[in-house]
Amino acid sequence: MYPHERSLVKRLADAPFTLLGINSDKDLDTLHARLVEENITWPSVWNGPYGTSGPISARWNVSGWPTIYVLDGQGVIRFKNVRGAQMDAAVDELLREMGIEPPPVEDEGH
Amino acid sequence: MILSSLIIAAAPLVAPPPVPWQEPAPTSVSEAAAPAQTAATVHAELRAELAEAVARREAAFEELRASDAWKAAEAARNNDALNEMYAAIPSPDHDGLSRRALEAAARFDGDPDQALLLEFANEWATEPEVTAAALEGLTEKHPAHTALFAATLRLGYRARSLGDERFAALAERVLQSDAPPETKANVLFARMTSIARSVRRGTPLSAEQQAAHDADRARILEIAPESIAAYRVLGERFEAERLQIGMVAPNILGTDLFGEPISLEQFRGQVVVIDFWGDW
Repeated sequence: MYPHERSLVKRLADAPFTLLGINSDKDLDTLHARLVEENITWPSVWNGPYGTSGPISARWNVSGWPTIYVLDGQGVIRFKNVRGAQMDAAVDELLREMGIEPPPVEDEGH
Repeated sequence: MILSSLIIAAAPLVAPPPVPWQEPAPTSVSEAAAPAQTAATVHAELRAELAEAVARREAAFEELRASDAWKAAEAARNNDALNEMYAAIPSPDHDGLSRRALEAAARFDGDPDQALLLEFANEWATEPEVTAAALEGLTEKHPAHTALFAATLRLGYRARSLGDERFAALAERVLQSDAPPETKANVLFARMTSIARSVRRGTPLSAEQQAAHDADRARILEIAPESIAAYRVLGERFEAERLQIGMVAPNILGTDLFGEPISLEQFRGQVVVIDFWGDW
């Protein structure tokens, strides 16, 4: 279910890049098993026991899931709700601004 | 997660109204074996039954997605047909389960876990009567229980179906009770949003409504400045004032999924994708 996140994290493993999840599951025990099953290796902040009503999504005014923000190295919000190839392009652009040439996106069909 | 993301993918699918299961309810094992029932055991049974029904629904959806009819409609971008097929998948009988939780709660007066049954009834019921009875039971008997806190998080959405008078009475009862400030803040937030919702979109609030709205808002920030309700109140303006492209993102401080401290700031100097996600 998380193939794009996985390929992004793998492709940029050596770049100054982090995928930071804000997780809104209520039940962490069940989720721990899913992390292993789905090979979710990137970090997540927990939104707390009240799920989607938790404090972080409330503060960031998130009302739909998934919601994506892309931040540059200075912590400035540069893109919002980019998905798939758009997300790759957004991250690559910000890495290039830092003078880093990101590894190319592999064709996921092969 | 699987279900919700596929709905997004096949938009504009709209969540259909619940369709009760046609199968007879499975017989309860504990009734036959008759170990001592408590509010907690009944609550666990109801949760398990709900989880089974959800799993059946997910399996049915998987099956549907693999069907030729679904694939053909998807290829043709025939959203009406997709919606119709999706709506035909039976949903868990949320109202039936909720009514049973409420009936069971009546048998366990004095048991602190009665709150869990009332919370269950409130969480899953679509019937205003069941919702109201569960909330009234919680406010009357378990004002300090976290179940009431959780129930009040959703209260704003329920205000309309409860009716103005009943909602106002409920809200007042919590506010006069010895419930923790965070719970009261949720109720104040519910009242604020219900005032805003009761007014037609685009119409300004009356002076009286605006005053009530502002008073509730101020009281939330006063009694529980670090609560979820306070964050929501601040979040109303946050999006407009702060969370725009080009703004520095506010720090996120918390714990990760294993209880270790984590913050957004520790990744400064890196490109960061923040992904609000869930596996529910």
